[in-house]
Amino acid sequence: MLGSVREMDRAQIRHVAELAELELTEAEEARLAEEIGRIVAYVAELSAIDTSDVPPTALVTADASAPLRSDEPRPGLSHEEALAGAPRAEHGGFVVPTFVE
Amino acid sequence: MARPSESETVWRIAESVRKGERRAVEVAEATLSRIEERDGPLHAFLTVSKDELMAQARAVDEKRARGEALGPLAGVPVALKDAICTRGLVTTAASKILEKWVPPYDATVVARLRAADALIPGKTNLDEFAMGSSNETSAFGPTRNPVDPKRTPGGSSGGSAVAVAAGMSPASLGSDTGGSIRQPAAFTGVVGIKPTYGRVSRYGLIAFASSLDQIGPFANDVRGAARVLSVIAGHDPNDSTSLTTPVPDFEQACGKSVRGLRLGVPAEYFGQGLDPEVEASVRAAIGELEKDGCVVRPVSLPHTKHAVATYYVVATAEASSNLARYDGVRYGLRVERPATSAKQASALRAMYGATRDAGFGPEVKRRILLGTFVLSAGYYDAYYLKAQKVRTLIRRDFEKVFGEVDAIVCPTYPTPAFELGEKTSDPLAMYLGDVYTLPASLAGLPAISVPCAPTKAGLPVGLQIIGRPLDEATILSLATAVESKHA
Repeated sequence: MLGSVREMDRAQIRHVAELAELELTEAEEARLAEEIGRIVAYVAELSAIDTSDVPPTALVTADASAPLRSDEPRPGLSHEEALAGAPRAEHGGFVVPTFVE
Repeated sequence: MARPSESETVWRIAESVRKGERRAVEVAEATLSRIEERDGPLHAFLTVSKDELMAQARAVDEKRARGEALGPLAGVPVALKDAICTRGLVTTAASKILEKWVPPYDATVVARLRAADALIPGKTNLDEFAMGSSNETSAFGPTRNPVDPKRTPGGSSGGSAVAVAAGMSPASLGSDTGGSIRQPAAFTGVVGIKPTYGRVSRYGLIAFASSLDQIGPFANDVRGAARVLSVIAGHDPNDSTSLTTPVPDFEQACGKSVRGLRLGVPAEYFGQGLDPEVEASVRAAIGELEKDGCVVRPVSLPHTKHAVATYYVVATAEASSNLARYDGVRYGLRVERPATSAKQASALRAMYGATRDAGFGPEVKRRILLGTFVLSAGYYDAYYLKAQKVRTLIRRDFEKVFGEVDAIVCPTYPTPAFELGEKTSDPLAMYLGDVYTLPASLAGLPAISVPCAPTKAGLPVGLQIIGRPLDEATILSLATAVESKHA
């Protein structure tokens, strides 16, 4: 599977951009397809490494005993503080553009 | 490079303020005048918080006047990378998407600095969202290296390194995901520490890659960096990855004998691409440690060559997830535009796309797209899961070697500081330079960059010392021994 992705075509980059909620200009799309294609071709070297029976590492913690804190309510941001940075806020909530007709 | 003669160490400033030899207000005024005088062409600072700085200094002086004991950083300026949240003070991550954002809370490290009576002169420039190795991806223009302004200071914590190197602040905080403290420390001739993963709380650090990000200090000497690290380290219930392990007084490790310590020199860090002058300087520093009584032996970390590919899959995958939060709804930039295509089924999605297109720069977009790709259906196993498995192999290389040696010594970066524009047209070339700093990040290990002999042209060179998990003390002892020959 890795070998098949030596270059990223424009349709592929558009699909990934859509997943990432990124709108790209034509020029960006062309440049990024080329650049990311080259990086993907480089990282494909990983496919040649034997990792049979090797578990994945998601996180390295030096102390496995790190406990989770108890799940109890604690004081947090006030309503006003939480909304203070919002580009648009009304009636105590965030305002978003229409998403259901 | 010797530190600028007029820039004092962290511990000397704290001592004089505690003894009442001078007031914190005088330190703050001198700091502001140095920033004013020097930062114009360097652009280390994005925000200088003059009023807050003076208010903090007055509070320290009043505390002393009341007869209260002062903290270990009394009156010591500590500049902050602008990815660390400061309550009431704009925090941008050097991105247009957060250009005007004012955090409603302090990062834990900031609260700890304040409690230790430190002064915060301002927020320093960085690569946008800490994504870069040269400070050139900052949306607000690059930082320049005070040693040679044609050259970059490295990145991503370039502004924090320059604040110290140019004598504007005796210490600063950066964050290191794949080398972002150590490499700029090496490029500018200062000390930089990436602590063990989990040693320092990341609560309030703008996230890039959560399994790798770690906050650490820069300072103009090892002892100063150790003191700042002692202040910021330790458990924080607000960060589930922060360790409960007790924090020793790291300063006590500075100056401790290094006799009998076993040092590993990994062959893989001295191969193709290593600048001959950097190699000569690093080998000379290792020779000096041997004269001090260290036992030096060759070791092998065979998966080093795969660190770049592993890192750029893991880190971008995590970044694509972390940066999904910048959507124009709760904070930051918002750009509204009517839905123009069938894909943008709603005005909401059109707003997301337009906001993120306008708010993120090219390197951030590149990494979000790469990370989204490696996590996408059909590619997850082949790229992301595979990289996580190779990460295990890289970690095991270190575990094996640390059965035989107490620390690993190697170059921090293959070359001295490169010039602005030298690598910007080729993202992959920029990534490949990180090969010596990425493995310790992937393995979660503590590592320090300490200046050794500069090149003939006077460019700084960093020796990297990598330690066992939670053994910052040993690398600090070794770094002090190296520093004593070069300061």
